Amino acid sequence: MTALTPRSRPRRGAGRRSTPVRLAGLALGVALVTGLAGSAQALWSDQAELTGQLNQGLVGFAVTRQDQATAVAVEDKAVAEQESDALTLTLNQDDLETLAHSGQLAIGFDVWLRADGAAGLDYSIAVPSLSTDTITSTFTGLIMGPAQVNIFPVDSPASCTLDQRPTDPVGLSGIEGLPATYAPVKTAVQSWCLTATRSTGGDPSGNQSVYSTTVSARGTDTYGFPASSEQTDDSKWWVNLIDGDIPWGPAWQLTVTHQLTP
Amino acid sequence: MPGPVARLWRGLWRGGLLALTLALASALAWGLWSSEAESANGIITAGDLDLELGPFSWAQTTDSVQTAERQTGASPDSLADFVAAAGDQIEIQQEITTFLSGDNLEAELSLWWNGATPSGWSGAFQLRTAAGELVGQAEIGQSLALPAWAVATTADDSSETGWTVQVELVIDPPVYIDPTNPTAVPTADPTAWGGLILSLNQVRGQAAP
Repeated sequence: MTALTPRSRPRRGAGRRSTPVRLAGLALGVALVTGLAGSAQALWSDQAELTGQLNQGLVGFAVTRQDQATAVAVEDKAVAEQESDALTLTLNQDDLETLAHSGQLAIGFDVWLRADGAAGLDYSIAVPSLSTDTITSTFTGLIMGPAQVNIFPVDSPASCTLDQRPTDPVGLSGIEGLPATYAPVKTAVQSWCLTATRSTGGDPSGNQSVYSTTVSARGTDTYGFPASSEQTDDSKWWVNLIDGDIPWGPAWQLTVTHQLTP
Repeated sequence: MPGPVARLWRGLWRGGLLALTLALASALAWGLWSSEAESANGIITAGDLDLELGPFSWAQTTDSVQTAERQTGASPDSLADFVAAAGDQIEIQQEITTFLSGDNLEAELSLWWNGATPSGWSGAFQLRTAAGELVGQAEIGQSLALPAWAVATTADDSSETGWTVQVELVIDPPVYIDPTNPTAVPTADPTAWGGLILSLNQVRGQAAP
């Protein structure tokens, strides 16, 4: 330590070195320290990079209503964030009213897929099963309960029409979206069509009823005596198809799930 | 009386001297680790420790992928081009040579991620002799001591040894994005990680038998 002490320590008031000289001295000291420490450490540790960057591929699964390719706004979109997510495509009030009034409905939707690397991706589409209680006591059930539903692949959502319905039902479980063969990036968009038809008259079972042209009503009058009425030329008839107080009921929605393979 | 500027420069000068002295003492301490000298004035031993990389190879070993379809490569660049999927298993083989020279120079090998540990990934590495005999295994982030026969014990001793480092990686879980958006960025994790760093470090104490 003694040897490292400056031999000519500046005396107060006289013989002091100029500022630039001191700066140079300080810099030299720092450089000397750095050099010593660097060479000492280098001797006893060595390392090498074994690999370059490592990449993991992406997975994507989504369902959209309408056709993005034709720049139509997506009305409904569901995106999976994990494999256990169940995506849904829900019929809204307009859909059900369209079916109630016209007796038919056709909705196109897209299934968007991505599975990079060696992963494949399958998916399944499930149609809801309505309980008897739902069918008889809710708006959704009254409309969809008797409806005939078909789901089938189409070229694009825009070509989803009733006349495209296949003769035989299409399997909706374990649909292959992307194969489990290696490629750095694998994507696909598969289009589907949901159609529903129902009779515009009749009971909730969907059967067309036969109405008679004559009718009579019997009951008890306000005095407690039996009373009856018969059809006359002035008779007026109306019917409430659906009670205004009937509950909306559970949403009618397709459930779309996926599985990574193999 | 010196002015404020002069006092400042004097303080800096003395501070620089103190730093120099402390740092030099520290450097001497480093040197003593590889020698048996007891004196505070001991001489820095000119030991050496070196790690060199040899041939590299990697293979996809995923059980669910048929053997004929498994991806392989013989360079770090080809591994960087590979895109792993969740569930993939990757085996890396890296031949290395360690060179130890000096007095009582023992060392350990460690393997760690260059940067943050990839979330969900797991991995371990094995150290094998050039003949394939297993020397030891550890998780990534841990160290393996070189056996006693591969270290240097005296000042004139040196050891040059060939090894194979075998790394097993398991990739998980899947990283999801919105597939309707071609420019979507995954929200959960990054999908590219810096590579693996292999490090050979001097240690004190008894080498593994």
